[in-house]
Amino acid sequence: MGGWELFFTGLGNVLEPFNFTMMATGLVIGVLAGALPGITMMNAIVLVLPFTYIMGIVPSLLLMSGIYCGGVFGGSITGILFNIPGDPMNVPTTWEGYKLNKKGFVSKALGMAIMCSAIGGVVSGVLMTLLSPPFAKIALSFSSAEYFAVVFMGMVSVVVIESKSVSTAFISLFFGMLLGTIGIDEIYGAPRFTFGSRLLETGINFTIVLIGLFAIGEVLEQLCEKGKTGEGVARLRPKVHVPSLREFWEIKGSLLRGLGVGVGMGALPGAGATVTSFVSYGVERQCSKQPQLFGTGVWEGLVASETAINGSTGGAMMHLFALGIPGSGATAVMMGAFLLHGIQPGPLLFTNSPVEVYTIFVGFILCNLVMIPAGVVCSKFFSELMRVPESILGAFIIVFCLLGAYGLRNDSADLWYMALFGIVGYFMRRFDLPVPPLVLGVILGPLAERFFMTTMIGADNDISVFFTRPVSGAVIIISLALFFWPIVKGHLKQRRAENPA
Amino acid sequence: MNIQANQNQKLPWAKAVGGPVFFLSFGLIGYLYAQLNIGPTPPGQLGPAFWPKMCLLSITLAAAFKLFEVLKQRGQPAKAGANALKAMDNRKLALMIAMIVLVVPAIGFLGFPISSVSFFWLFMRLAGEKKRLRMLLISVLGTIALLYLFVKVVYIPLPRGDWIFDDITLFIYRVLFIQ
Repeated sequence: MGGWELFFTGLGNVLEPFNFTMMATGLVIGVLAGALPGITMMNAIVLVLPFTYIMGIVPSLLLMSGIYCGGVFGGSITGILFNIPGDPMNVPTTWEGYKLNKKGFVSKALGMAIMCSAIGGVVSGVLMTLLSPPFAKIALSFSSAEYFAVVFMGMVSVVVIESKSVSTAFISLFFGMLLGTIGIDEIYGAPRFTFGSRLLETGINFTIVLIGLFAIGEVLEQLCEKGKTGEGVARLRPKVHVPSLREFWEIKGSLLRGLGVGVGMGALPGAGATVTSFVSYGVERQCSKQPQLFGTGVWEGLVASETAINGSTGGAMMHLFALGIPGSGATAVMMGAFLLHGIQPGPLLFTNSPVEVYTIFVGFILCNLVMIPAGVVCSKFFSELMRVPESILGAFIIVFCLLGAYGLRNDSADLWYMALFGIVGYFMRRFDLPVPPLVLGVILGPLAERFFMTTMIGADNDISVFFTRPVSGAVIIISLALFFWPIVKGHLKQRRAENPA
Repeated sequence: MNIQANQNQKLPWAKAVGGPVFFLSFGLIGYLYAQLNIGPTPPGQLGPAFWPKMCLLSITLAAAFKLFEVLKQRGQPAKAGANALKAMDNRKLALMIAMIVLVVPAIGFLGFPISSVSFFWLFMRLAGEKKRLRMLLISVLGTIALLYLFVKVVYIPLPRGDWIFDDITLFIYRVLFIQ
């Protein structure tokens, strides 16, 4: 069978009522799981795994693909509505989306997030269908040096995120990275900053840090403002405003850049949607004509990060299908589903089970299209919560945060961390200390350390390896350029202002 | 009047210096601690202390740079609205923070259902909710909904509490057909 014939056979399979129902069910489960703090997309995929025993491989994987696509987007809903990112990858969306909500653009922000996620996912799916085998081969040649370079690029965005004071941003970033080192070291197995305490030995999970810093601080600030009663605050019912073509035209640049970063970085195994979303946000700010407005609620930041997140999902699937290497935790569970049904993912998959592969490819593209109505319905459901009085909503947010923190590892130590970071987050806001770089440090610090140390062990501590390997060298040079460009630009501007002639 | 004005001008500067000095000291003390306590370093490798030491050194350098910036700006007028803070109800804030801290051991000791109902009730009351029936219904029904979602649907074994509270939680689970 030829490529197009396989494509249309796959389309026919996906549109079979049972398969389509599984895909739509997966989407709704994914969006809900992604949106609720404490229930991750991974939890949801693992929970449906036993149900797939009684299904064929196609409906099983369509169900999981649905959860994957929906889960990646779902965290943005609560990020935009309540300043609680469902997952670290949704943090940049939260920075802009919540501020847009505060400015009164909640309906458009939700609609824009849904549409950009869908566009990112569809383009990523199409590219995955067309380019899987060659793309995956290139990705296989990458090593920890390239991965470090990519994470480094994500960290450079700290300057991008925080422009008020670079030095304060760096203090916050490195403090976050330091928090990421607490616990037992992954490579050498040595305890670091544990002080003999069991609570500290398990380390600090970054999801808890971000739930605490963002959500608790926000609740305290909202409820403790002088003069607020908290009772009977009936706000308007927010709708989901799907953006028009004209509105899309206005943000075409951000959309395309988000797509480029998402698809490109999605192809790197190990980069993941989290790094992709931070890098995309950083790149967008550098390209913006008004970078100083980032963090105050700008559409470009929301569009770029949201497009990039779903744009990276095809890459993760590509590694699974073409190489048999799962590109993320979610795809690792999907690999388990393949194996349960006696199918080995990898290069031979395209020869042995081409119909199944193309059915899942087409299903992945359709998933992202069906995500538009599914996302609208789920967003409307969560938007209803906006009408709940702040006193009740605040109590629910805190209990959800506690459950979310506990549910990650079933460890009561995480409850303490969550409470601690909640209070720290409140005081950081109060004293104008930048929270985003700290979050970035906690999330990307451990990844950077792992890739850096692995590279150093392999290269006999020769740091030049990061520059002698072409891809890592190029990425690091681009990152440095991104870092220094605003400084050079500001200097040139100042000189031009001093010497107008 | 003049003394008052001078104090008002000096106070933000003194505050601005406090932060960098704290982080500068933190970075240096932390570096020393890491140097002495994290190890051992295998021969020819960077070792487990390398990364935290790098972070601490970077904190020290960034704090030193910040201190330099602050000292350079000394005497310059502060930007309007730079330190504008919202007026907060400090009593309410302190009580809410205390509740968030106290609910953590309470969950371990009383179990999730009892602590959750109590937390909902007290927090809503503190936040300004006055309708008692509504508070009661939300506390009880909210806790039941969360128990179903987390224990029954996603199989997260929430803390059941110690001593007699373990039995009470188990009884609640049985009444609700959760276990």
